[in-house]
Amino acid sequence: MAQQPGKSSSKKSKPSYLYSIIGVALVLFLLGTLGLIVIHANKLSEFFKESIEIQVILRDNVKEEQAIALKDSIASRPYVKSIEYVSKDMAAERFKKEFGEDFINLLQYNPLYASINIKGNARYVNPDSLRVIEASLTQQNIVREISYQRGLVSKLNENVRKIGLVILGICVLLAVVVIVLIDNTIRLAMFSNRFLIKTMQMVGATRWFIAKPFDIRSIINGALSAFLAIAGLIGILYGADQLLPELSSMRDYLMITVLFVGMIVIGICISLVSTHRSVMKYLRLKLDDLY
Amino acid sequence: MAEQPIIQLSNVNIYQGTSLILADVNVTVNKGEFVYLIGRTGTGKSSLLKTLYGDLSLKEGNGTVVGFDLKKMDWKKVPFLRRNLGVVFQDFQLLTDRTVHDNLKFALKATGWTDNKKMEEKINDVLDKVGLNTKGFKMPYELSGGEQQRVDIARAMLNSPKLILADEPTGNLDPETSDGIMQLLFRISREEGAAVVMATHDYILLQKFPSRVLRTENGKVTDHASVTFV
Repeated sequence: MAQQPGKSSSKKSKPSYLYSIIGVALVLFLLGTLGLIVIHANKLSEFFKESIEIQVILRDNVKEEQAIALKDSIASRPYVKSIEYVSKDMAAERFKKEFGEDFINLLQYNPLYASINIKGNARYVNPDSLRVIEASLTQQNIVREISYQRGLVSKLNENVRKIGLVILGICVLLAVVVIVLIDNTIRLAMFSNRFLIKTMQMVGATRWFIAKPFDIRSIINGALSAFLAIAGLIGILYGADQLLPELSSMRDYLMITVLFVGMIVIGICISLVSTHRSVMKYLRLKLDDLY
Repeated sequence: MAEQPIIQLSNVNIYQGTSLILADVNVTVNKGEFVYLIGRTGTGKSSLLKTLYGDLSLKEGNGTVVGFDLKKMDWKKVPFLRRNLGVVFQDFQLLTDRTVHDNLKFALKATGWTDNKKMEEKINDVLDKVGLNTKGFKMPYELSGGEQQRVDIARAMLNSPKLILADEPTGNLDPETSDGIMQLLFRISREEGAAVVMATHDYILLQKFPSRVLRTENGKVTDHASVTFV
């Protein structure tokens, strides 16, 4: 019974329902992508920070035992996540592998320095801590210099935040556009139902009775949109795992669940509010205004 | 008569938007009365009917319809006023996507009926009264104009209204079919005791089926026991 208006309108306005479902799904998908980025932002910046390499370049005359002793003493410091010693020969080997040129034959000597390469814990990879670490390491007299990408470190956090803001801005803009579009599509669907709505009113149906089936339909449509968007996001997560297997290890499943539930709620709300508003509009119109 | 009139309007001014359409309307319609509402297009027939069924709100004067105070009408009360009225339209306003039976059932559900058995009984009852008891399974477009108008009347009778408002119910029908509809309306008025207010252009009908006439003219409603035409 309550489904009857829905039934009749689904016959006439299936495409507009479909468009509104897809429209809401798209905006939810974008909002969800933003959500995923925000959730991953901390983990992502941690991931980036911990992949930054701090090279402790050793003087030319340093013996291997000295270097290894230094390496061991550094390894016990709290800021170290991983550490390795790269001897002159290993450095030359890596260089050769990377650039494919045997420059030692060309130069007749190995110009590369031995180094201790450190990957730091994320908490310590910020300009201030690194300056302190750098100062303490350079005091070692076998250390020639400390090398890392200073600019990268300071920009990392800031950029993650900036990108998030930009995407948020885009999402808000898109949300406004899509809500207006959805509103129009739904209003059009309602327009084809306007005489049905009026006839119901003429026989004495209450506003609630008339609006109920439309509202129920809109809740179902909103939920469908959310499920479509969530399916898209799961697709993206899956794809990201294929590209960057490291990503799956830093996934926060609780937050992702919260995000998905939030998307369902938002999807239902957009659809319901906009449908209810336009049904109410036709309910308030006088019979003459319908023509 | 101790009984309250079905319609009582006193000193009513009817506005369409901000323009005054009918001034100082005083009308009383009693139970079982059959009243024509005539007048040229644009003289306020429809506005008067709309005031009676709550589509236009009453701003000046006093009025009651089937016991509802029109002054106190708001969107919450209008549905309940309409359940005590039957409205018949010139263009039938049937739901074209479902059968006659479902049209009636839909109206019953919309007005708060829940018991399936009682609904079936009521549908058969009203279809019987309008002479369409074998056509419940038909779609509206499979019916002739006269038959569609009978369905419309059947729908108006569902909630055993004390008042039927008919807005040019014969406007789209040929003379013979119109006669049938008129006989039906008169019979309902007589047998069910429902008052009928019928707006019409058709003066021939008035001669064939004489009854009390309200005429809208020059912003007034005048009351005639019956009309004579030269």
